[in-house]
Amino acid sequence: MGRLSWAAAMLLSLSACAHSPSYDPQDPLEKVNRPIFAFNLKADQYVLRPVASGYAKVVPSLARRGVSNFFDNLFYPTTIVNDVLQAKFVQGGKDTLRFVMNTTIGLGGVLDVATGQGFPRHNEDLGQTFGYWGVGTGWYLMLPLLGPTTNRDFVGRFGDNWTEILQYTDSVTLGERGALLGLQLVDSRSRLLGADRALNDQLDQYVFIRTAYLDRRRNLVFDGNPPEEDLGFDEDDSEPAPAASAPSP
Amino acid sequence: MKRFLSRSAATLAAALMALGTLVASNSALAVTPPDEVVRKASSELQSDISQNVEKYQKDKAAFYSMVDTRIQQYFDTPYIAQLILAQNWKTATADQRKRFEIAFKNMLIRSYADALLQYHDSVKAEVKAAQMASDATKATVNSSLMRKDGPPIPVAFDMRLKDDSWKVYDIKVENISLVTNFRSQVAAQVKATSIDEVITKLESGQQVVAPVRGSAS
Repeated sequence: MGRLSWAAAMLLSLSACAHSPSYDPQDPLEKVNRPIFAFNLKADQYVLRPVASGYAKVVPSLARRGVSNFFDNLFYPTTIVNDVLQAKFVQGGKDTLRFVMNTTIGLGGVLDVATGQGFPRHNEDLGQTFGYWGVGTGWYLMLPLLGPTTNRDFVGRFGDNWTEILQYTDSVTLGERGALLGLQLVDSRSRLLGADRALNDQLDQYVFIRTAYLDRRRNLVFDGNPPEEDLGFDEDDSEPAPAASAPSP
Repeated sequence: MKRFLSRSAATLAAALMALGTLVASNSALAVTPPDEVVRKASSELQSDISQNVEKYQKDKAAFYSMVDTRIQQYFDTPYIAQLILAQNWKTATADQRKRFEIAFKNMLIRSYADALLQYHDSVKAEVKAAQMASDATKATVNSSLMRKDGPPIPVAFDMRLKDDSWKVYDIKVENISLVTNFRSQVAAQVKATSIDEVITKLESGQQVVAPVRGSAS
């Protein structure tokens, strides 16, 4: 019952979510989010990035590809469940076949044999399902260590926990689960090493990550074809301000 | 002999002139379609890089200036500057607008040209045909960057027709738009400091305070 009312309260909080463009998002907690982001950057700089780049240096790329495939497959039931929740039944069927194929012929998911057979990987989760049915993103949130999210995606993350299959098997101990999650973290971070340079070249890294996160999530909700976002500003022939004007304080 | 030479010179000149008018009238008639523009620009860049890769690795300045001269005709930089400055465009002076436009373009070249140099032979761009009406003035050209190790990356070019040629005004990598992203960053920074400081930051090429140390690929 306690769990149910908790879920109900979270769902209620979603009803207040409206759509805002990513260049002008709802970020009322910016004053809290920014220090958390700075902390995350430090943690990344001193722990996660060194570990991930060490991993990328030591482990050959073919093996890393296998690890990435394994985790993509392990968490694929999340995609299948959310295919169904979004009434994408054909895609759900194909994704189920993909999961079965990669788990068996693909040796537990290490090899991605299904993509070559016409079953490409999809990306669905509960946050996207909410978005698909019209729920807006709500506030932008920066979580310690876990990174960027929104009200909607945060609630979705909780819900998606039920589709994580490791918890339903007794053959994997809690310690092993922890080790797997650690490896998964290193794996996902190592996939992003190439983006470090781009992050470094930004004017405001916090805003860069925020906009990129919101744009990417919007792209996922619309499966790669989001409607054109109104830039709210078109050709402007306004005269420039007089050159003599003092620079704004 | 003399007469022969002068006659052939005259013929040659006439032929050249005819060719010149032909080329001119041709370009006035047919506008290169947007997907063709993207294809042309990327293959020009790629072939130049593969011919001179060693030289460019030694001389980054020459590389950046090559990229600059090659791509500037394909980008609508004044419009990009305007879209990014948004509300700040209205209050900016003519000088600030121009300085921002140039500084922003140079910053982009510095940021992305290195990746071009690094991946020029391991990444192939597949440009899809643009779907658009014949009288359209805006179009989106979709493409995929095909990599050897990893799934393709979708890249979209938003283009518009300006002075009879299609020019890029936004690039979206997995729907992460360059324009919206920099617009929000510039807005935040102008609010925190001033437009002059933002321009100076861009011009200095040192946008961020905390340096990121070299990363493995």
